[in-house]
Amino acid sequence: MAHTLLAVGKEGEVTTIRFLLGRIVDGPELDTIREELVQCVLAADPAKLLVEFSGVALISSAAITLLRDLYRAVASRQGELRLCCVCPEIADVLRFTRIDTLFQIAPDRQAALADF
Amino acid sequence: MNRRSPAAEDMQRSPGQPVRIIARLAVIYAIMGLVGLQLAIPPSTASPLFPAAGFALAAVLWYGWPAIVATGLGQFLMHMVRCWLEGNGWPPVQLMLAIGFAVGAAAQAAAAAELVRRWTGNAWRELALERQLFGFLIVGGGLACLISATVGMACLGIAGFVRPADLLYEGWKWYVGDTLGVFIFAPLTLVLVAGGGGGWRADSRRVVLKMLVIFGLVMVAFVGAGRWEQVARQRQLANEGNLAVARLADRLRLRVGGFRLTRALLAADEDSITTVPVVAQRWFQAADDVVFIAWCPPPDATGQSPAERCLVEVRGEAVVAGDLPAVVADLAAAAVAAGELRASDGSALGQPAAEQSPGLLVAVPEDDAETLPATSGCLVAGLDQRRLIREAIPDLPTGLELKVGGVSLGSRDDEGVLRDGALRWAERLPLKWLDWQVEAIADSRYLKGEFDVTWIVAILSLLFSALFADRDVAISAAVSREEIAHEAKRRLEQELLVAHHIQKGLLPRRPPNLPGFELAGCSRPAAQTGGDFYDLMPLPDGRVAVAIADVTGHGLGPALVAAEVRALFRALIGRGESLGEVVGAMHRLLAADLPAERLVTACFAVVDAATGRLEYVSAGHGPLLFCRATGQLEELPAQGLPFGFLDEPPTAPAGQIVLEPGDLFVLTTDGFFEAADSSGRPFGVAALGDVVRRHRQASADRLVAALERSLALFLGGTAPQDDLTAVVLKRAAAEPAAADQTS
Repeated sequence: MAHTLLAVGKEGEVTTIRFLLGRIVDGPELDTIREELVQCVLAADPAKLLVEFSGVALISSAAITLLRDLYRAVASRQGELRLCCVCPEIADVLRFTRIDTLFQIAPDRQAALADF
Repeated sequence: MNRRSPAAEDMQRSPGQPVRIIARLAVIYAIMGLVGLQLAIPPSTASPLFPAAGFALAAVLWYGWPAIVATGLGQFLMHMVRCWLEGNGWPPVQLMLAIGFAVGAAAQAAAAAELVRRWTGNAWRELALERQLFGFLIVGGGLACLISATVGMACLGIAGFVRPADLLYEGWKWYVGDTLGVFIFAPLTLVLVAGGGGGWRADSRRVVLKMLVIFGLVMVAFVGAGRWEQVARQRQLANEGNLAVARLADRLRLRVGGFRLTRALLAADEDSITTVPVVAQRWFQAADDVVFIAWCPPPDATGQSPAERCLVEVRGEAVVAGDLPAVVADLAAAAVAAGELRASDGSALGQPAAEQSPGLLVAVPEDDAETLPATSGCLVAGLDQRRLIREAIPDLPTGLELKVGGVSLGSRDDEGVLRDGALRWAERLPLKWLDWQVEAIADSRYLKGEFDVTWIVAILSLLFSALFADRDVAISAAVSREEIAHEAKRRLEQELLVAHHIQKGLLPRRPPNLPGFELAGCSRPAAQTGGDFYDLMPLPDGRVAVAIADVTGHGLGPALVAAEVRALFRALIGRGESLGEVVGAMHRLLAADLPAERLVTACFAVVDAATGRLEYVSAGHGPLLFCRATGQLEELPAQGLPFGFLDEPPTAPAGQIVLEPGDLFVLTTDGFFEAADSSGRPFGVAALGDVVRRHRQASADRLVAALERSLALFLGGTAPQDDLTAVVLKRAAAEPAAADQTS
């Protein structure tokens, strides 16, 4: 599947995903990102995924549903998921919503890869 | 994609309805077809406009398969009625033709509907774009109409009603009639019949009236042109007939003149019996139509008839007296005696050989007594009628038949084909002594090609007017759709306004009385309605319940979810259960109701005025700012995930704080800290905390106003993209005792 809003790569066994949009907010792109994310999870073998937030300055509350669907998709495959490169504003959102308790969040890509 | 029309769905629900629909459509098709055939311009039997074809396409689009059946039945019915009206009865060949035509018409309607659906992506009800409209016309008319014409011509060719050479020409006329029928009557039928079909129905009266006026004028012109063509054709045929009559009369006068001269010569000749063969051979050898000459000499001086009579076969030997000559001579004498001339067929002359059959017997009587004595003898000549006519009119055009005195010349089509297409003209020969009628009959071969320019001009007029009118239909439909969309938008805005007022009415009109506390809040949806709300509700035990929630998304959907969250909280908090139990119950109830794309972050709190104790549970909502009177700002953690994130309810125990005098508890939704200015920089949680800290000594109302004002200043005119909601609880600051004492 071609990805239009995600940059997908492979680092060893880990599938790396990077968002290409600076703001993940409500709109038609949100559904596209959701669909592409789930496809990445289903296609990842093994199901080890690293989602990078470098370059993303803002995610709206609606975009939280992306993380929920990502979490559920990885959990259904009993995979591993790491987040990294989360800016302070997004970290605030993850903290308020307590979503940071579900995900392992690394400060940068190298640290996240080393954690798998 | 739904490919069924509302009519087709109705039929599926009502089992008996298809039969009624088929019967009704078949009758309408037959009537429209019979009316259309009346527009045919002879000699062609094909109509330049066949409305039933367009009706069939619209009916199949609207009703589906029953209309295909109805089209076949209607075509069959139309043909049989036509045979009956023309008095042909229903011979087997006509039955077979009717079946063939029915199959062709039904196949054409089915194919046209399928092509239209494929071309327009099943958007035939709309046809908002001219491209779609012309696609509709091209595939539904131009392409599909080849079917019926091809099948029809094949049937007529096999049955022998149309010559192979004429199949293409007649098929082209059939095709044009069907195509124009689709161009005009498919859209017209959809406008009239397909009620509820988007723009087709809207403003139909104006569109239909305009189309009818246009086609009425065109058809008047068309019928006028047809009449003019018929008159012109009749005139041409009359000219042809008159020329034939004149040539025939001249030829007959020439012959009779020759016979009179011959009789005068023989009367003067005493040995006329001997002279007759010589005269016949010399004078009439070159005249192919003169078969014989019979001569009865004049009576002698005593009045006795001569014993000898003479019969000369012009190209044979002379016979003197004898049986046959005697008979001829006697007949001639009798004719003279009776004072009349006779024309007879060959059989009356004793059945001579067919090729020499003198179909005409001309006796030269004593009708010119002034120049010849009454006893000048009698000459009878036998003329081959067919040769006489052929020599008089040697160049009979193809397709023109001439009937003269019962003899037919020329060729023509089969009677069945000619019945509608042939033109007739008749006139009597201007001869007193010969009562012949000359009848000219022209078939399609004679008439074809003479007036095609008018036919084509009429077709082009219809074509352009059809396209013009159809375009008008499309434009009208588009305008109607715009009006419908505008009306729908206006209604939606009205409904959203009502929803806005309802949602606004769910917000606290004034904060409940909580001794020693100030409560304030605000909620500004980004659109008419939003997914934010806050609530302040006094409890029976004197405490006050506080709620703030943010449903993801904007608009009416989140507003409905927000109303449900509010109602659940109000219903559950009044039952005396702990806050943790209430939120747990809400989690279970909302899990069943929340759509997949919705999450709800919410914080619920209960404040006891007597102790200043505040208990709270946050389901993924933040920030929860606890600002002490000293300016110390604390961000309280949430107890669980947002509603709708996971199935498990929050497990952490409710949080508790004690508000001392001057302390503040501030709750906002993410619309505050995520609001970004024109450069995309968000307001942020830190700035929010700063505002709270700077205005901590202000009243709760003023702090709320300060939050809104600070954000507005930050945004600098940029409209907030998210709902903004804030709630402030402030424990009133203690009265400064020193000041009191001073005062």
